[in-house]
Amino acid sequence: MFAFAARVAWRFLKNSRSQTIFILLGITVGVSIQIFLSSLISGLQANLVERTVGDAPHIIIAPQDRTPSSIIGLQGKVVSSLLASPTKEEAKIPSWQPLTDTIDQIEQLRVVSPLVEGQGVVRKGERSRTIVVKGVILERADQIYELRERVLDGIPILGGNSVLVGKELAEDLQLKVSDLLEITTPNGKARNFIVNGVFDLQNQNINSTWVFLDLPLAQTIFNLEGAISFVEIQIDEVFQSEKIAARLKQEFPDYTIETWQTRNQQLLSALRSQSLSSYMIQFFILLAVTLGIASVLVVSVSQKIREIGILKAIGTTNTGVSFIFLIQGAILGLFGSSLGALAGISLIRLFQRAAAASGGAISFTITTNPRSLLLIVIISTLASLFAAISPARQAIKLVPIEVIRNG
Amino acid sequence: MADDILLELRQVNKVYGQLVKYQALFDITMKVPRGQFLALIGPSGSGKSTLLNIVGALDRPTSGEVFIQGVNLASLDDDELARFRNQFLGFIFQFHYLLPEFNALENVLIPSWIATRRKPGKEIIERAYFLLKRVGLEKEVYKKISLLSGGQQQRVAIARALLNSPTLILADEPTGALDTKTGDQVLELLAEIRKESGTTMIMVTHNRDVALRADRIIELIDGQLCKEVYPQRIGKEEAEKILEDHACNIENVNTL
Ligand SMILES: Nc1ncnc2c1ncn2[C@@H]1O[C@H](COP(=O)(O)OP(=O)(O)OP(=O)(O)O)[C@@H](O)[C@H]1O
Ligand SMILES: [Mg+2]
Repeated sequence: MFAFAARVAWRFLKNSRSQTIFILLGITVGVSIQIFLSSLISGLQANLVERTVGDAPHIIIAPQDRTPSSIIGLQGKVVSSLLASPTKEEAKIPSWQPLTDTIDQIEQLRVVSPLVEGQGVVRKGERSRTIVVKGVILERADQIYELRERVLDGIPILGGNSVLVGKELAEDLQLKVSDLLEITTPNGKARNFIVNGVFDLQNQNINSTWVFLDLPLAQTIFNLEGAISFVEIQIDEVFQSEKIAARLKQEFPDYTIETWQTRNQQLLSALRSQSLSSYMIQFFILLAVTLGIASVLVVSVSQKIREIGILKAIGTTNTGVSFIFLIQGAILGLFGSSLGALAGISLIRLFQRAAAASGGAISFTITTNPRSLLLIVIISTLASLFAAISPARQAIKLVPIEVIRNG
Repeated sequence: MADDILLELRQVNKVYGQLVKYQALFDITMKVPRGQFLALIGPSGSGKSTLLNIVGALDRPTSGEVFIQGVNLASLDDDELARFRNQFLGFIFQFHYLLPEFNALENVLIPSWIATRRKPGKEIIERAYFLLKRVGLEKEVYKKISLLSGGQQQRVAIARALLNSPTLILADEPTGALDTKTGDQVLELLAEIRKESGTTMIMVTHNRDVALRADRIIELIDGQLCKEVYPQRIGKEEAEKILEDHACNIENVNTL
């Protein structure tokens, strides 16, 4: 019955060629717009997220009860609140080496960087500023903060007594490369350091408060004896962070695992509402396409009343005639959405070319995501099948003698 | 094989309409033996098509029973009836009802596609060819239906009705839409083919000459059986005389 119904369905579509072509075009346009739109939105979002968290840690392993200040994103309010709070005995991670051994076994992690963080006051001559001291292993931290590329003056090397200071801090204190400066830690000890370079992390707050120095040196000045404050982590798929964080939580139940999302609620809700409106648009496109298919098939049932009547008279069952229309829906959906997928990919190519030709005016790029492509094709085909239900039922209801009696 | 009954109707009534009721058939009781060519005649609106559609399992009687080969049609559901029609019945209607999407050969093959649910085998295709040849459409096998003349289309419909070797052929004014000459040719052909295969056939016709060639004529008037004539037994002239008479002779309707 299926093969026969498929055959009749195919002929019906072939015979009403212009109808078929128009509805196929409709599906193609709808699906290609859906694909382009979803790629555009996800490209846009990826760009936004990259800008926000691209050079900040995505996940931080922190001792219980200690708030990391690194994930400040664009707001940077955390630092001041942290500084305003009374100094207490700070929690720490006693030894990070065994930690990294476990962490290294998780493949999704791109960068794992240990960090010693503490407050200090920097003095040069008469002027002084409160700062955040960041003890890092430069090779690792560099992969998160891109420090080496962002050093404007001097050389991006840490070791010995050298430090890297931010652009704003340097301006404030009139620091130049090779200048000496004095940092006092909360325990009252003061030490001298040499400015090795001035960096610009494109964030005023960071530029005026952060001072990088070598990890062992930071451990010494804060009396940490090999302990560290946080482990900063970057991952490949930023939106996998919650999942990975959950895994880390399992491995290290004694630590707090914090992700970039917790610090970027505003951005996230913006992304969410953007996604929502994109889904809405896609839904209505799908609805319009489905209604289009349904109307074409409903019309086709009334056009084919004679044929269906006679097919039933000479023995086609209700299942058989309903298949004829369901299969038509499936064919239209499958062909239409496949054509739409091709058209969508071409649209994306066009956009990519335009972006490349714009010379940076279009700052983000979009890519085709095979998974969402496949999903859209499947959903559209299912929707077409769904659209065929009503005409199929009409065909079932059709009584052959009505047709035969009325010629 | 005088009492090999193929079709039996018992007290068949048909009432049309829900609010305004109209009774089209009254207590029709009759038997048709295997191999008979039965002509149904009667004035317009007398219920011939209604009766034929009930016999053809296309419609259900309001009351009464229909048996074909001993199968009570009331015991079959709609899909079973569809399969029954496909397997045992061959229909030829006033209008050809071919599918314009398919060519002549494909149209003839449709009953087999429906029945076997797969591509027709070589044997069936050969039979379709044979039937098309038999109805004189050797050159039109691959032609689109819309390119055929009315007579040719009706001949394709005849070939289609015969493909599954039906037990019973039902024809409702099969030449009603054709001109007299073409109609006569088609009827001639149908009668010949039927005779060759010995298939039972019930044909509704307004054509007196065609009816007189049947084994048996039954006349319906106002939904009731009125006359029954066996023209081959009593001769054409005697039969015509009875048909012209106004009185009904219904009492012996079930004699064979
Ligand atoms: N669906 C229906 N609803 C109501 N009345 C109907 C219906 N079908 C047929 N009738 C009535 O039943 C009666 C018998 O109709 P039928 O078609 O069987 O006549 P017929 O003998 O075939 O006539 P003709 O020679 O004109 O084809 C007619 O009076 C017709 O109006
Ligand atoms: Mg009629």
